[in-house]
Amino acid sequence: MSADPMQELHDIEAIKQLKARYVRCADTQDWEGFAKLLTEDYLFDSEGGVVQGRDHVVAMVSKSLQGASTVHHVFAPEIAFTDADTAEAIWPMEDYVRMSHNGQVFAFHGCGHYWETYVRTDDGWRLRTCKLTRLRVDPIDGSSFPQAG
Amino acid sequence: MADDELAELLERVRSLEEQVREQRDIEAIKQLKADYCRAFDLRDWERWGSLLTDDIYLESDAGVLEGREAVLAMMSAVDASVVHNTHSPVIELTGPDTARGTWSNEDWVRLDLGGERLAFHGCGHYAEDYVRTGDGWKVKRSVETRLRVDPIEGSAPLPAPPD
Repeated sequence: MSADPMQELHDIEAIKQLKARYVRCADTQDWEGFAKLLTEDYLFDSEGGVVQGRDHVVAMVSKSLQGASTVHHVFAPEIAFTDADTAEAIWPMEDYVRMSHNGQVFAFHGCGHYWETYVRTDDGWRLRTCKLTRLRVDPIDGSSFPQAG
Repeated sequence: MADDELAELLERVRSLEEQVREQRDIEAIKQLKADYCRAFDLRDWERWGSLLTDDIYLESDAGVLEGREAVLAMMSAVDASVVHNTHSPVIELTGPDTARGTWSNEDWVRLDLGGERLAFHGCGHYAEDYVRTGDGWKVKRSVETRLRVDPIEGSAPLPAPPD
């Protein structure tokens, strides 16, 4: 047991709620709320590539999801503390996405994991990095995927 | 401070410590199950095997498997793509080193059974027993029940459930 076992339970709950807010803000496209959950040097690594910096990530995500419909569900997490004020977690996830890319509509259901790190700031826990890996991606009702590149 | 006040305070501290320990055990068991699903879905058999007791009992619509070695041999021989998304745990400590829990589960499965490809999406529950070992909490028993199983279009029909 760590020096302050109760503090660790509170921190685990705070990180769970941070992640819940993150997916809710993303899916409701509340970009102001979304940005508040990220560190300034936030790094996001997904199929779309690596984007670093909170402002860059928010600009990229809000633009690419304009007019899109997304649903992100996260399930039982593994959360570990790497220091008194830093933590890492793995979240199983699924998403339902419908969006257009170069004028072509595509939709899919995907499953995978988020691999994340967090840091405690004066305003509470914040996301520092997030990497998405996939177990599967299935197109929905005849929609097509955009061509790579 | 009077002796009776001190005794009351010590009792409160003892009770709070006990409650914190219980909450930490519940959280550790939740993370054990998350680890179990991740290792299974990523086909990391060494890690998955390390989360089971030697005498693990596994029951599902595929039948009953007992013992870590038998379970590992069977699971690792199947060519499959699987996703297990577990949620809404109810964990109850049943003793200092034992616990039981239920989980809601949703899975997405693609299997190759002797050249026949089948795929389905299922929902149901796990009822499980856990035990604390010198190496942390382990899964001792896991029984999976189904609420529904839907074939994914284009895959072979699902096999009939065992009697």
